[in-house]
Order: sequence, then structure tokens, then C-alpha cells
Amino acid sequence: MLNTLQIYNNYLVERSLLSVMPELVIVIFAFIVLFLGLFRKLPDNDNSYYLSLIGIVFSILYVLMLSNQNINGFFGSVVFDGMDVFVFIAILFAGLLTILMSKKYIEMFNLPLAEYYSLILFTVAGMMLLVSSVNLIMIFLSIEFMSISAYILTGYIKGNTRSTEAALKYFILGSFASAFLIFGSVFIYAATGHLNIYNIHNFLYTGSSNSGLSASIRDYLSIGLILFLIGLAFKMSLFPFHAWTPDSYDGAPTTVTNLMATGIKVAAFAIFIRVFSSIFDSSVFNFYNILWILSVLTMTFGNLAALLQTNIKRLLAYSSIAQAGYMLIGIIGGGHYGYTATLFYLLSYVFMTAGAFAIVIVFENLNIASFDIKSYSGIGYKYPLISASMSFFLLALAGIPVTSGFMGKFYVFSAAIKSNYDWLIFIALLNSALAAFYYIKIIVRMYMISNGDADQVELGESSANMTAIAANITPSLIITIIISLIFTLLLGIYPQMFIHFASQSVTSLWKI
Amino acid sequence: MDTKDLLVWSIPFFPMLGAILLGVFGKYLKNYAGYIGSISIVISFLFSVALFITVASTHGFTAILYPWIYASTFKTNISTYIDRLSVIMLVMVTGVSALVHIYSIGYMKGDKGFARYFSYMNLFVFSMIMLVLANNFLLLYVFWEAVGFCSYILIGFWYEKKSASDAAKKAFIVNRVGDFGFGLGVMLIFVSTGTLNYTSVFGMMPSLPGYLVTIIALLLFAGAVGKSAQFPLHIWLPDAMEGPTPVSSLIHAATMVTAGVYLVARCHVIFSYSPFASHVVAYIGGFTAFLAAFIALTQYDIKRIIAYSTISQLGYMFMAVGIGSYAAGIFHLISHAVFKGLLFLTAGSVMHAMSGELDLRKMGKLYSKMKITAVTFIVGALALSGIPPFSGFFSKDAILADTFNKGYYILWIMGEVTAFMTAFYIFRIIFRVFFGESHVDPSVHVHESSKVMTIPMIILASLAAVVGFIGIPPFDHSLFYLFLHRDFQNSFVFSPFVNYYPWFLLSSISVLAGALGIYTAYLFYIKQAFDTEKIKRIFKPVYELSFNKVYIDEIYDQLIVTPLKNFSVYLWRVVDTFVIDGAVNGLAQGFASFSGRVRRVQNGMVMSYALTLMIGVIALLAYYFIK
Repeated sequence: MLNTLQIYNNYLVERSLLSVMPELVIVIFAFIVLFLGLFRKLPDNDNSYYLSLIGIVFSILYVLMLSNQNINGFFGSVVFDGMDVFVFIAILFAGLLTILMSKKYIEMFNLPLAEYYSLILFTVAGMMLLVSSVNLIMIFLSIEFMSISAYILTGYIKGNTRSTEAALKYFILGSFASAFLIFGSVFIYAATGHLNIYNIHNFLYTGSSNSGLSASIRDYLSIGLILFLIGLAFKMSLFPFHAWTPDSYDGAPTTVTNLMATGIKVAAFAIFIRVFSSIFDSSVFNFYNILWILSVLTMTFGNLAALLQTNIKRLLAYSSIAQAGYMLIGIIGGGHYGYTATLFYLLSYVFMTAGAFAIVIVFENLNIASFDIKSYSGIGYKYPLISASMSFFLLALAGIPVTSGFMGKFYVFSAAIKSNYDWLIFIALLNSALAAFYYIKIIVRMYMISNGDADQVELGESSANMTAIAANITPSLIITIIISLIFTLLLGIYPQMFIHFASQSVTSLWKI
Repeated sequence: MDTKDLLVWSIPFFPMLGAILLGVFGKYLKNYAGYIGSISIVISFLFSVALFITVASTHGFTAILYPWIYASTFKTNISTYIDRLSVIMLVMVTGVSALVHIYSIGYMKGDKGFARYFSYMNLFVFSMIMLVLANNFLLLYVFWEAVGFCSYILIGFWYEKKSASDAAKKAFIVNRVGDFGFGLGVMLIFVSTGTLNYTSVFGMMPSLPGYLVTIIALLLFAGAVGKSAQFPLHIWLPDAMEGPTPVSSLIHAATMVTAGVYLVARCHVIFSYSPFASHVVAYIGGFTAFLAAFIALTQYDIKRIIAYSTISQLGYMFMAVGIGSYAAGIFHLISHAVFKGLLFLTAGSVMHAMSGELDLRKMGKLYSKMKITAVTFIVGALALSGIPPFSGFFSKDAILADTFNKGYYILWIMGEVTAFMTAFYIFRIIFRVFFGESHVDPSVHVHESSKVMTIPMIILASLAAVVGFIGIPPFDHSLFYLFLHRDFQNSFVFSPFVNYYPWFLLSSISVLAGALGIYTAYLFYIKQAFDTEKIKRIFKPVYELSFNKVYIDEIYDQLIVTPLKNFSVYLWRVVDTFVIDGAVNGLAQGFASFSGRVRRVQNGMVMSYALTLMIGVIALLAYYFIK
């Protein structure tokens, strides 16, 4: 596609820059936003909002332009390949939707906008860099890059104790996890002498496969891998490394919650697939058993905890924990098909979660509902279209046919069935049934339980309220909901295109 | 995607677009909703005619819209199978739908759910078109359920009425029984052949063991029994008359209920390789035809009589496809769709004029007040009774002649008796509604319906009068037979002809049966030659049996509903409350109180979180070292 590429072939710096071009665009725009923030009076300008949108769009264009390339950069520590293309698109959409839904919401808190948008862009760049890292040190650095921005964003509502508390918890526990990650990398390095995962792969599979690895190498490697897994499991919020999730999701601004639930989870899963597919080796240690147990614990815990949850944000947090359990099933299923299924699930998860959070924000903006699910009673008749969309997203999360959630579950489950994990699927299906209960509980509340509050009914019809709706449901929020709806439906009824896309990306994993 | 494919996909596209438009913006469209809903169907009809001409002049083809689910060995496309059978069904479905939609503009005028009604109807037409077009069993199953769902929401359209929502529930639950079998059948097909594509599945039928083919065929037929209201699952259709009358006309007479017949015809390869299953189809059809006609004799509700008549006529169609006369079955399906759609529309017109009254005993002498309705009704009734040259004569006699010539004498006798009863009950309606003495409540102002309603009726009546001529010369040399026969050539001939009696001999007998039925009705209700009360007393057991619908509802109540209810109450009181609720609430409450307790300890929280994390780390490492 890009003919100039040939010219650069011999130029390391240029090639390296090309390999991180989509991230670079985001970072550049983040700096521009930050810089412009110095000059203007902040609360009443939209510059940073539009600039960050343009940045994301440019980055998407770059990804599409480079989509056929396979570029190694920075002495092989960063790679741009098919896997990146798919995951970048998912992450960039997560970022795009987050920015779109931020517009009115952040202005409400009267906070500096430029910093907010630039931090969002930095987080997105961090996620993308993480996915394209193939070097253990690089992975650590990009996780930190991503996380530090996310910590700040979590505590962005200054003066709000919940927000600050959430950020602090996230930070402390996140540091813990990072420590495990780097500690694991040390062990892996000690065992193999390599930091690049492809070199490690070669070391494991070709170097000593005939003679077998010595016992001490195996011990070192296994401990290293377990610790590394723990570091990533924290970001993927797998049980029992999930503890930060509900509190941070609850305390953070809802837009940031959305970014954490969609973008960070996608990035963590993607890098997990990248590492797992190349260096987790069953001849060293059977990691499938550990993943099996983690998956079952994660989804069961998430669903049980969500069951009686009354705070919508906490409920979505627990639901996202449970969803992580389902995503793991695809990885356990393994192979080309399993990873494809997981990537597909990740993409569909981005849109259905973003849609649900966008609607939480709509209600938050309107001040008609708190985070308490009880306040959703009878909303279905006052805001029919919004409630219908909410129901659609919740049905998607529950995995009802016609939605992307069903197709995602179908693919990950069939991947595991293919690898004969029948019991895992049995438990997962029980979990899905359990999960449907709390998703549908919200729908029931919206449509079948009346609020009994006469004032609100009157409010719903008065013209003053109509202007309030017009002022608070901004076009950008509506666009967010429409994009999410379209993709949730499209992935549900026309999955083959996306599966094909995901399958091509997965193929690049083995092009070493 | 070439022009042909585009043509195919635009047929379901417009009803879908209409359904979405009316569903989302219905509120703002007001009275235009009716026009938009009708126009979308008319466009779809025009495209269907174009497709019909294309296929009739060339050959069938497969149009793939996109690959749907490719999961390792499981591959399904969103694709269609276009042959002469499907285009004929398409033209019928969209044609009748278009007329019923136009009629509905008048019938549903002023209803507060006007836009909602047209949205549902468009959704139904879309689903029905896709059901006809599907080229694999999964797509078929999806739209099989979709039409069932549309039927459910349309029966319960006036959901404030308890009888309507009850009827909707009954239809849905009874259909569930059949669809469960149908679903199992689809799964069994996939398990035994490894594919769901029609062509591949049919290709493999000859090589499958006989018992498997029989089981598959019977499971598929279970779905057909539910959807097409055959004995013993016919009980939902009469109750479904609670819906608006155009719905009864379109869904419960012309299109959805015939899906079962279409299914058997479409899967003729499967059924023909299992003579046993085919015979089950034929005899259930024959018995249902007889039973429903018998019940219809004594009912008083016009719509219910016509509903039983539908069940009975569907029985004829199953009889035909069960003895391997697929073309004859489809022929009757088409002509029945026309005249039964017409009968329902005219019944709706009567109901409209009588302010919702449907009881035969409260009518009479309406002929002078609503001539168009009366004449069109009589045309429909003559077609139903099989009087030449109306359409029913050609199609019904094609079936009856085949049963005789193929040696199914019992079915033939049942069919002839049913023909007699059919003519009797339909003319009983005519004589009691349009002629005889007036029992109309004087406060009701009887009037002819508006043009938007009568014109579709007139069109359908003209069609009912002439559509039979596609069946000339009668039986196996007719235009229709020669047109459609090609699609059924790859089926196994399990019931060859044993007699070769000429058509005029056989059809004169059934015309006689029909004429006799009409004459008997005339004697009863116009001449009043007999004292009906006396006859009722003499044949009391028989009368009671017919009047109480052979007590089938009561039998189900005793055998299934009551025990099930008791069992459910037991489940609810004991199992649900103590076991399930206990477990669920206990667990969830345990978690909730746990997390609540943790939340209270503000300072210790991060520590406890770190503790869980550490426990996790230790557990994972321990797992490695213990191994």
C-alpha cells in the first residue's frame, strides 16, 4: 500500500518510527491538546475535544494505511503486525467512544478539559504500545505508561473522595501487580537469557527441545511465567486479582470507567494472547489448568457478586469481571480458532459495554437517576428510545441471539468445545444463565416497575424537561449510542466479516 | 451480487424497512403509517412477480447474501434457494399480504395502535418471505420462530383484552411443543449429515439408514403440526381469532399456517424416503380434515367456524403431500390462501358492520344491506365447497382424485365426507347471516364497508373465481402441475398410481357431495324443512361432541394443564422457594454482606485487597510446586 516503505527498508530509525506511527500520532495530538490548553480559558472551549477526536481518527487512518505491513522497530522491541491492526481498531474505537461520551459529562464537573483529553489520549497510546510490544521490558514500560495515565484519570474529579480513593487503591494495587510483572520478567530472563518473546520462543522450541530443558530452567521459567501471568491478570481483572475493579470502576468518572472496562481490558487480553501464544509452553508447565481454574473462579465470582448489586456502575464492574472469565475461555480453547474467538469477543465487548456506559452517562447527565438501580424504575416509558437501547446492550451482555454478545459467546464456547473442555463450557453456560438474571433485572425495572413518583411523571412531559433533555443529551452522546448499537447489531447478524478480520490478525502471531 | 441477487434481496428488504420505519417513527406518521406499510408490501409483491417471471422463463438459483456463521465444521450462509416452489409461494405471500394490508387501512382505522399494527404486519411479511426463501435449516428455523413470534404479538394485539392475551399465550405455548420437535429435527439433521444446507442434506437422504430418515421426518413434521394447527395441536388456532380479523386472514389462513405444508413440500426428499412418515402425515391430515369439519358444523362464532375450516383444509393439504402428490398440495395451498383470505376479510367486513358481533344467532338478512360483502362471501364459499368453476374445485379434486387413484380409499372417503360437511357449514353461515329472518339487534346500524376494504375483497373474489383455471386440464396434465412438477422430480416414488379413473368421474362425486351439503344447509336454514331442535335432541351425543369441540381442550386440561399446574405450584412453593431461592439468595446475600463488611473497614480495605492478591499469588505458586 505504501510504496515508500521499500525506500525505508534500510533505515532503522525511519522504520522504527513507522512501526509506532499510530501511537505516535496519538501522542503528538495529546501534546498539542496539552499545549493549547495553556493558552485558552478552559471551561468554554471545545478545542481539546475536537482535537482528540481528530487524533483518534488520524490514528485509525494510519492503522488502515499500514494494515498490510509487518514492521519491526526499535531493535525488535516493538512490532506492527496484523494482530496490532485488529486490536488497535478495537482500542481506538474504545478511545473514540470514550471521548465522544465525555463532552458534556466532564464539563459538568468543571474540571480542566485539556489535561483530561490529553490523558485519555496518553492512556490510549499506552494501550496500543502495550499491544505492539514484543519485549518484556517494553511490555512493562508500556503497562506503566498506560496505567499511570489511568491512575490520574481515575482520581480526576478533584475533591471527590470516592474518586480519589478509587485512584489511590488502583495505584497501590497496580504497583503491586507491576512488581510481580517485572519480577516475573526477571525470572524469565534468568531462565532463558532473552527478553524478546520471539527469542524466548526460539530458545524454548528449537534451541534445547531435543535435549529438554534442565530442571532449574524449568523452575525459573515456570515461576517467571506465573508471576508474569499475575501481573497481566491484574489488568484483565481475573479473580483473585480483581479486587481493585469494583471500587475503581465505581469511584472513577463514568467515562474513565468505560475506558478502563473496554480499552485496558482489550489491551491486556491482546498482550496476554501475544505472550501466551509464543512462550507459554505446555512442555514446561501446564498453564491451561491454571487458566481453567482462573476462568471458572472469575466468571462465577463476577456473576455471583453482581447478582444482588444495586449500584449500576458496580454491577457493570462485576459484569466486566465475569466477561473476562468468558474471554479467557477462548484462550483456553487455544489455537488459531480460540484466539480468533477471543479477539471477536473483545471487539463485541467494547461496543456493548461502551453503549451501556453511555446510557448510564445519559441518565447521570439528566440527573434523573443516580447509580442506584432503583432509580431506573419506570424509565422505559419516559425515555423509550434510550431505554430500548439500554435493553439491547444489556441483552447483548447477557448473550441473547441477534446481538454481538451471543455470537461472541458462541465462538469462544465452540472453541473450547473443540478442545474438549466440556466441563468448562457447562459451568460457563450455568454462569450465563445466572448472569442473564441481573441484566434482565434492570430491563424489568425500566419497563415493569413504576416509579410511583408523580412529580417525575409530570416532569417527563413538561416542556422544561424537554429542553433539559436537549441540553444534556448531546449529539456526541447520541452518536456514541448509535455507533455502539450499529456495531452490536452488525457483529451479531454479520459476524463473518469480523471473524475473518480477527482470523487474519491471529495468523500474524505465528509469522515470526 | 448481480441483478438477480439484487432482485431476490429487495423482496424481503422493503417489508423489513417498513417494519423498522413504522416501529421507530410510527408515532409521528399518524395515518400515513398504513400507506407506508402497504406500499412496502406492494413493492415487494412487484419484485416477487418479476422474480417469478425470471424463474419461470429460466431456472432456479441460489443467492448468497453473506456468510453467516463459520465455526469450524459448522457453516451457514444467509442465502436463499430460488426455485419454482419458492417463487410461487412468494407471489402468493406478498400478493395476499398486499391486499390484506390495504384492507387493514380501513379495518384498523382509528385504532390507537395503528402504526404498531402495520409495523408488526410488515415484520411478519418479512419473516414469512425469509422463511420461504431460506436455503438451510438454521435460517428456516430462525424465521420459523420469527413468524411464530409475530403471530403471538398480533394475536395479542389488543393485549388489554384478557381473552386476547390468553389466546396469544396459548398459541405460543402450543407451538412450543411442535417447535421443540422441529428444533430436535434440525439438530438431528446436522448430527447425521454434518450440514444444514438443503441441497446437501437432500442429496444425502438416500444413503442414510431408513429409521434415521423416519425420525428426522417425524420431528420436522412435529413442527409442521404445531404451526399448521393439525391434530393434536390444532387447539390454538380457533382461539387465535381473538386477534384483528386481517391478522386472521393473513397469518392464520393464508400464509403462516401453511408454512407446515410448505415445509413438507420443501423437504419432500426426506419425506418421500420415509413412506412411514409420509403416511403419518397423510393420515393425520385426513383425520384433522374430518375432525375440524365435524366441529365446525355446530359452532356459532363466524370466525371460529372459518378457523376450523382452515384447520380442515390444511388437513387436505397434508393428505396430499403425505401421499406424494406435492404439486396438488401446493395447488390447494395457493387456491386456499385466496379463498380463505377472502372469507376472513368478508367476515371482518360483517363484523365491522355489526359493531364486532360474530354470533350467527344474532344475524340474518344482511344481503340487502351489504351486497358486495355478501356476493364476495358467496364466491369464497362456493370455492371452499368445491363447486366448479371456482378455484377450490380444481385444487381439492386434484387431491381427492390422487387419494383414490393411489389407492388410499379410507382417506378418500374421509375427504368426500369432509367435502359434504364443508359445504354444509359454510352455507350455514351464508343462509343464517345474509338470508333468512333478521335477528339483528335493532340498535346496530348495518352498513357496507368503505371502498378501501371492499376493493381488496373484490380482487380476491375475482381471483378465487378464476385462479382455479391454472389447474386446467384437471390433474396430472394441468398447467400448474407441469410448471411445478420439475421441482419434485428428485423425490422417491413410494406411492405409484394403482387406478386410472378419469377426472370427470371422480370429481362428479365430490361436486355431488358439495352440492348435497349446500342443499342440506338450504333445507335446514331457508326451507326449515326440519325442526333443528328436534334433530339436536335425537343426535344429542353427536351434537354435544361437535359443539364441545370433541372435548379436546378439556382433555388437555385434565391430562396436561392441571397436573402441570399442580407440579409447577409444587416447584414454586417447595423447590423454588426453599432450594433455588435459598441457594441463590443465600449465596448472593453472603457475597453482598461480605463485600458490605469489607467496605465498612475503610483503612483495612487496600490491605485486604492486597491480601487477596497475595493469596492468589501463593496459591498459584503452590499449585506449581505441589505438582
